[in-house]
Amino acid sequence: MTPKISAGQTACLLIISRIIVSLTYSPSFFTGGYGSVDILAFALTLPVTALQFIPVLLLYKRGGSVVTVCYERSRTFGVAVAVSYALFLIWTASVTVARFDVFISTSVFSQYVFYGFMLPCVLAFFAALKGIEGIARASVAVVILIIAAVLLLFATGFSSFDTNNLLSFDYYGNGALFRSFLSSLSRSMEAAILCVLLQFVKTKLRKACIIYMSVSFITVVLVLLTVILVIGDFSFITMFPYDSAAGNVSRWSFLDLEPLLIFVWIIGVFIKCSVCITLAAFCLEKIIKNIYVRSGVSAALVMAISFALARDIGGYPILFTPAVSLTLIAVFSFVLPIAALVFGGKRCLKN
Amino acid sequence: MDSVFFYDFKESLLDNEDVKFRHFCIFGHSIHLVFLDSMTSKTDLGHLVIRPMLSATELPEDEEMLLEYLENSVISAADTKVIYDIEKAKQQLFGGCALIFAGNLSKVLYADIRMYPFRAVSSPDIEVSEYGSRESFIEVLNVNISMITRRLKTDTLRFENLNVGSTTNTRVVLCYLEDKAPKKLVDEMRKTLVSSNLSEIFEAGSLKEILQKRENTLYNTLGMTVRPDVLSSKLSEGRVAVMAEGSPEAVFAPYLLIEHLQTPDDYVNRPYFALLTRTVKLISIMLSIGLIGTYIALAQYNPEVFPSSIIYSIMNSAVSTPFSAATESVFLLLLYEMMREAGMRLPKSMGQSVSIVGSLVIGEAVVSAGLIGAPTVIVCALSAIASFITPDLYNQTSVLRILYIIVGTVSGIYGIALLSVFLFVGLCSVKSFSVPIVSPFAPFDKKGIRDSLFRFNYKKLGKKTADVNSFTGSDDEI
Repeated sequence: MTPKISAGQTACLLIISRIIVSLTYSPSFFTGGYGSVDILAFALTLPVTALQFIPVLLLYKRGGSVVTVCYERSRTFGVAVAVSYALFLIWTASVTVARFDVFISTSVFSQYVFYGFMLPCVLAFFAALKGIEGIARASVAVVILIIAAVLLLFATGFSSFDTNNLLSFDYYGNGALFRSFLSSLSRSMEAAILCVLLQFVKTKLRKACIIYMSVSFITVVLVLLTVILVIGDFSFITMFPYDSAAGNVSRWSFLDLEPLLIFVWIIGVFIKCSVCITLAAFCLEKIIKNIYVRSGVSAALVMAISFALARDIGGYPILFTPAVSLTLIAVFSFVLPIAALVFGGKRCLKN
Repeated sequence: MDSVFFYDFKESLLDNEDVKFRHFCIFGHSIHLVFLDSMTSKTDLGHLVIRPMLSATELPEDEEMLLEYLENSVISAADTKVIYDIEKAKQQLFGGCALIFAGNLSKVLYADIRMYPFRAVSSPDIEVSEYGSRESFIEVLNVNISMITRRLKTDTLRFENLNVGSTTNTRVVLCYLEDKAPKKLVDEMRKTLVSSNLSEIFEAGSLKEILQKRENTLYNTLGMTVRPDVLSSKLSEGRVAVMAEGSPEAVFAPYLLIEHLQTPDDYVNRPYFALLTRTVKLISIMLSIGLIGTYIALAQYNPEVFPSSIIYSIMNSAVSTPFSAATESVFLLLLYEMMREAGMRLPKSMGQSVSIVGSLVIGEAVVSAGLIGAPTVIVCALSAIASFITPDLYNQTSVLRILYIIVGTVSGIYGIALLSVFLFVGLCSVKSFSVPIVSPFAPFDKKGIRDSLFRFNYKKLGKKTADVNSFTGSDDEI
C-alpha cells in the first residue's frame, strides 16, 4: 500500500470528522449544554487529545498502521486487531450516519425516513472503491466549505448575539465542568481513526496533528459560541442546538442559512462515512481479498447498524451516551496502539 | 526482364484507376514508374524524376546498383529512399509519392512529389480569442508541424511518425519536447497508439478515446486544441501531443480541469481581469450543471429559502401551469437540445431562423399559453447560457444537468448535496496520465498555483515554466 495523502489532507479528514460531531451535537442526549463551561471543557480536552496522538506518532515512526505493525508480529494478532479496528470504524460510520438520520427525520424532512441513512452508505461504498486519495483531495475543499459556512453563520448572527448568555462558570454547579469535559472527550475519536489512516500518510504526521488540533479548536469554539450567544440556555431543550441557532440567525439576516448548514452536514457525513468504509475495507484486506466484497461488506454493516440505531428507540442511549464512546476511545486510541507498540513488529515498511 | 516483386505489386493494384504506370527503357534497363493520378504533382514528376532519368548520360551496368545510383545521382526530388517491403511501398504510393521499380530488383525507390489541394491556414472557428495568433491547424499534417516548429525553435522538439489504422494507414505524429515530457508518458502514449487495433482513423479526436481507455471516467483526461500557439505552450509545460493527417485538431495530455478555464487572452489581459474571467467561468460551470436541479429541489422542498416575492412568483407559476417544475425543465431542455442540433447542422442562414423560431415563437408562446412557468424558462435559459461559456465541457454538463434534475426532484437539497460531494470525490480521484486532474488545487502545488484560478504577473510567470508532470500528487512526483 503506497502512502498517498499529504499532511494537509490528513488534517482535513480529521477536521471534518471532528466538526461533523460538533455540528450534530445534541445536549438533549449528551451531557452538556452548559454554555461557556462547554468552551472551557473543550479547551481542557486538547491536552488529552494531544496525549492520544503520542501512540499514533510512535506507530508512524515504526513505519506502519496499527494493523500492519501487529501483522509484523503474528498473523493471528494482526487479524484480531484488524477485525477490531474494522468493527470500530464501521461503528463510527454507523453512529455518524444514524445521528444524521435522526437529525434529518426529526428536524428537517420527515419524508426521508426510509432511505435517509441508505444514500450516504451506498455512495460512500462507491467512493471507497475509488480509494482514499480522491476522498482526501476532496476533503480539502469540504473543510474550506464547512469553515466558510461556520464563519458565515457566526458573522450573520452577530446582530442577534446576546452576551448575557455568557454566564459565569460556577452558574451550572460544581460537576458541570467535569461532565462537559467527559462529553467533549467522547466526541474525539480522531486519534483512533488515525491509527489506521496513517498507513496512507506520506509525510509530516506531526504537522497534520497540529493543524487538526488548531483548526478544529477554532472552528468548534466558533460553533459553541454561536450556539451560546444566539440561543443560550435554550440549547438544553433543543435537540440540535446548532440547527436551532442557524434558524434563529436566519430570522435576523437576509438569508435562510439552514439549507446551507444541511448541505455542509451532508457532505461532511459523506466524507467521514467514506473514510471509515475505506479504512474498514483496508483492515479486512488480509481476510477478504476482493476490494468490492470488503467495501460492500463494510457499507452493508454501516447501513444495518445505523438503521438499528436510528430506528430503534433502544438504540438512542448507545448512540448518545458518552460512556460507550469513551470506552471505545480508550481501547482504540490507547490500549490497542500501545499493545501494538509493545508486542508488534519493530520495523515495517508501508508496502 | 521485370521482377516478381513488381508484378506482385502491380497485380494488387490493377483495378485502381487512380494508379498510373509508365515504362521506360534507359540504357537497356527496364524501369517502371508508378504514381497516383490524383495526389502526385505532374510538374514535379516531369522535372524532378522523368526528365533527369531520360537525360542521364550513363547508368551503371550492374542492376543491383541501379536504384541507389538513380537516388544519389539522377533524381532531384528532395525526399527519396529505397524500400524493400511491398506494404510500405503501397503506403508511400497512396501518400502521393512516385515509385520507381528497376529491372529484376526486389526493392523500390520512392520520390516524395506529393501534391493535393488543401485549404489555407485561417482563423480558428472555435477557441476564438480577442488577441494573439490568428492561425489554426488545418488538415495537412506537415503544415501543422511547421506551425509548431516555427514557435518552438529548439533542438529538443521531437515529432515521431506512426501509422495507425489497418485500412486508412493514417499518419499520426507524436509531438513533445524531449527535455520536458517524461519518457514514461511518451512511451505509454506511443504504445497505446501502436497497439490500437483499429481499422480506420479519420481524425485526431477519435484517438482521444483510445488514449484514455484506462480512464473510464466522465471527465476529460485529454485536451484538444485547434490553435498552434496553445499547443506550443502546452508542449513547453511537458505535455505530449498527438496530431493526425486529415485532422485540424491536436490531442494532448495530461489535461487538467483548470485548463477548461484558461484562454490565450488571459495572458494578454491584466492578471486581475484573468482572475475575474476564470472565476466567472467556474461559476458558470457550476450553474450549468446544478442550477436547474437546485432550483427544483428548493422550489419543491425548501421554498422558504427564497425571498417572499420570489416565492409568490414561483407559486403563481406553479398553480397556473399544468406541469411540475421538473417536467417543465425536462421539456425545455429537450427543446433546447433539439434547437441546438438543428442550428448546428443547418446552413448558417437557416440556423439563425431556428434561433428566432426557438426563442421568440416557442419560448414566448409556451409562457403565454400557460404551459410553462416564466421562472422555469429563466432558470433553464440561464443554465443554457452558462454552458456556452465552456463549450469543451458541454458533454459533461448536459448529462450532469439531467442527473441533477432527477436527484433534485426525488430527494431535494439532501440528494443534491450527496450527489455533489460524490461527483466531487469522483473528480478528485481521476488522473490524467498520472497527474490528478484537480491539480494544482488538490493536492496543492505551489508551482502550479501560479497559473490557476488567478495568474501571476507575467514577469514571474514567464521566468520559469511549471512542468505539469511534476505537480504534487502526480506519480512522477512521488
